[in-house]
Amino acid sequence: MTPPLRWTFGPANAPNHLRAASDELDTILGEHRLPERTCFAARLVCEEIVLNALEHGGASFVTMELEPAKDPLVLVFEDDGASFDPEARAAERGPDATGEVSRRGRGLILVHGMSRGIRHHRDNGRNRLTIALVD
Amino acid sequence: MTEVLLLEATDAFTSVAVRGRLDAAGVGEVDLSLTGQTVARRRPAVIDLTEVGFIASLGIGMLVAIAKSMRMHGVGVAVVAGPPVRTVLEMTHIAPLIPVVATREDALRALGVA
Repeated sequence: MTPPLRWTFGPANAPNHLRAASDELDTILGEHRLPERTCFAARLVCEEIVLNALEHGGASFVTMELEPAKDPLVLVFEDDGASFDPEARAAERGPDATGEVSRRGRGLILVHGMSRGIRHHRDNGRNRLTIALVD
Repeated sequence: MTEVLLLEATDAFTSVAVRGRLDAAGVGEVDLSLTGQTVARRRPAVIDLTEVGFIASLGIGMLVAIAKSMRMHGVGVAVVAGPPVRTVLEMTHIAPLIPVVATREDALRALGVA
């Protein structure tokens, strides 16, 4: 059995590390003949979850794991930032008192729109998010 | 690398195109330039994203900030985008602020300058 692929991100130079990871995801998932929509979803969810944990959660690291041959494709994130359960933040996906959706809210909308299931587990001061992507 | 190209700048409107990705890195590369070429001209603006293959919430936030600044000057902005980017934009319900359409002609019509 192939071991899961793993990436680690930190606050330093996160945008460029994310771009490099996005390129790798595109190549790896393409080699596994996954639909373009799933590749796009993986890159988008990766960007949103990692930046959210680093910028809003104050995490010092975020890891992402995936097994490209698994169906459906599942991304597993772990970070040491503030507790963050996307499912408990449904209100942020709608407009605030000024009628606007916040940037974090937009990120949550995109993660939900690109996934078919999200599970959050908090253990030992760490968030573990398991996200099954759309086909 | 993500870049901004000025396509047309008339008394009636501005038309710019973005090429590349509007991820966190791409937004850092074009934010100032795109804002300068749209908001600073104070003309209705078409932002063509047909050559943008990826957009995330930071990129959408940049477009929203531009549209809000332009609205303060009484002018609008419309975005032209292909299917993957258009789908992402539609998911985040920005249509009341920024019409997202398939062609430049539709964008000019949405801005009332066709």
